[in-house]
Amino acid sequence: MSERVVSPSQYEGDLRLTCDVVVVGSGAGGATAAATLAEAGLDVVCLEEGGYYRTADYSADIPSMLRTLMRNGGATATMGRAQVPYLEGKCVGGSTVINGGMCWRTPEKILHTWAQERGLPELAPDRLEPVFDEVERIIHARYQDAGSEGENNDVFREGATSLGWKLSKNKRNQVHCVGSNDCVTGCPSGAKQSTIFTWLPRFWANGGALYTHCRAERLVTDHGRVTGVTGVIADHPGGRRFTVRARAVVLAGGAVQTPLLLLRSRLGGACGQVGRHFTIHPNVKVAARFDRPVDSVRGAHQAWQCVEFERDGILMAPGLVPVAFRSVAFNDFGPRLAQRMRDHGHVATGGILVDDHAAGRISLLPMGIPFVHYEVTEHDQARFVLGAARLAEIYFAAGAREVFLPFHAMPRLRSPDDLPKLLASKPRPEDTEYFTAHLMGSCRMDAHPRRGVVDPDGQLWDAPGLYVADASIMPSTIGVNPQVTIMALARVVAMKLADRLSARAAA
Amino acid sequence: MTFAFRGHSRLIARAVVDAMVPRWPDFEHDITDEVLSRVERLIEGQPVAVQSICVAGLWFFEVASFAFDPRFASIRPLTAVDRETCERRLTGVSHHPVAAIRKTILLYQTFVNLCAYDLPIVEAYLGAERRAWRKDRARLREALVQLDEGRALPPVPLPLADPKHLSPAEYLTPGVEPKRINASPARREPRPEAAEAEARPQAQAAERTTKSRPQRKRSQVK
Repeated sequence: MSERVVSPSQYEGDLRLTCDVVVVGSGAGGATAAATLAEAGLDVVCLEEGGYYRTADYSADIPSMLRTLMRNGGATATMGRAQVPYLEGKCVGGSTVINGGMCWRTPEKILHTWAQERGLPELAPDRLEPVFDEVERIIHARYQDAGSEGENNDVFREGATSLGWKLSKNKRNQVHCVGSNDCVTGCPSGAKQSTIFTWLPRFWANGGALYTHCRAERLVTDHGRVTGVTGVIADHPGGRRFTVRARAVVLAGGAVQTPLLLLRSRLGGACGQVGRHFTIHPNVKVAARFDRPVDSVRGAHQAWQCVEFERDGILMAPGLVPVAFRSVAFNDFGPRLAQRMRDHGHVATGGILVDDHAAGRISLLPMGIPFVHYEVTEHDQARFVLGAARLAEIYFAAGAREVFLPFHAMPRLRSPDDLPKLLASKPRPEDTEYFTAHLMGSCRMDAHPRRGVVDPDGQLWDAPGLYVADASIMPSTIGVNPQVTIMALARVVAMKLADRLSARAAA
Repeated sequence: MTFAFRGHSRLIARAVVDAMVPRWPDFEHDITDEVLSRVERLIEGQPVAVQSICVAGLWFFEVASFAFDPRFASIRPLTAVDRETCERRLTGVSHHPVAAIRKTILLYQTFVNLCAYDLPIVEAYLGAERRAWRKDRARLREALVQLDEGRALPPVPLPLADPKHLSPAEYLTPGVEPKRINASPARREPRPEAAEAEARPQAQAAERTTKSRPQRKRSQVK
């Protein structure tokens, strides 16, 4: 199958295209939408800001891959009392190239809320179920092959089982994941089924063309209707530009870039909701040292989750990462860290995810500087402390000698007897080290034009011809890894758009 | 645009990196310059504003870090003190009770740790060599995929226009029960327990074969 990927070196001067639909972004939302529209027989162009890198291009040099695959080398952070670093994929495949591959459907209680409180009955569980079925099948969501999980998962499961806590096996979009433990910088074995292996081949097979290094700057309007997108050819000299004219424009740059593009284009502002209700699922890391060896090199990122406290909005999971990323989990450096890292073969790592109640905001400062603001609430912080204590319990139950926490005031627990002290210590958000890769909800979907940026079809309430099909349209936080939700929503938006454009053409 | 620390900023950066890189008594390599170079590459990937903040942060360490030395041995700038003092001062910054002060060093701490612990010689020293492991895994997976080739695979999902597929009309019409997609009846899931044991000889054979014939290109998507 030919991969219709066009890089700037393949053409000269500025790029000017006309098509039925232009999709901005090639990640979970963009690739899904592009494939769906192309399959419906539409002429679709997909634009991606980053380059096209395949399995053979994913090297073991982590700093180099961070620069290659992520925006700002993965060193972007939200602003607030606590800065939360976040990752955004900037390559063909977007964040599906750099995620852990977890495949969770949107919890039913969330879908009911969306249906009832946001006026979105088409997102009710029974309506979305066939879409989830289809998405999971296309992206090969499945359980790990036996023997590939690794000891980091084993100790987590062992601890939770001995406490009698409920565990859930993770489906991941992978085919024969062999536990390379390098999900974040591009799967080196080709097992992870990023959109490069799933949606984009369907897009290409149906005549779609993907243009790399196209950084969208503004949307083009004509008498109030959005008719295209324009921007610069990134990372190539000469100040080259592109303009793509289309019957419809679909934005899928993610929950940070999509509202920024709308704000720069002064679109969607009537409701006052662009960039608001931004949620990030902050998570914190915990490490535990054991007397027995825990293989820290081999295994899968997250084969299990502990869902015992799901009702409280707390998920706990093992999280295997390469040694270099582990070094960052201990808030230290130099000889002290070196001493600790010598024990890396006895250390297990895990994380806690909380379905946040905060509402961050994305805005533009003077001179067009992006500003991503987010404050961890007291309520969420209390759950982080509780979650860290519970995860520490799991590790102590599995035989850990000490547990390292992300809290500045209480960085280490030496035994389960220290747990009450942790719960009483109430660490502040600014004294906590967070991290996230789940960015959602900055252009939320709502049936009422005053409460949301896009309508139930995914079209902007005040900008006809402009659609959004990424994590930004989620009406609220979901409490689980969002990849499958993003794809399902993008699929729905694209199906409706395909139906609409096809009907118009037929008429 | 390339980024490099220049002039005195480079001296400060080197002192900071030198204090932060891992050291073990039986580890004989000096990795400071290599790590510094990698840190520069990471900073190069940042927006210009962040690059400026990185340089400004160095000067903060140079002139003010003496205040964070628990022993308060000297007020000389960072580049004029020995490595131990430098490390003590930076540790004082990184463990300061005021979050805003701690954050000044967090980016360097993260970058230096990532760049240092990712070096092959450091990984090898720690017994966590990833490069060979990745190659081994890629070979194993190739063998596992080859095992699947003789099996019936799930059908490639059909395009929207096909009536067997969930169409927009089906989905959008209220009250119409969407047609469920058949769950790939022909699929025989890989036998996971046996997979690795079965694949290893295959992987070895594949490795031998690839040495004698050109690599075959194969699509990952069936």
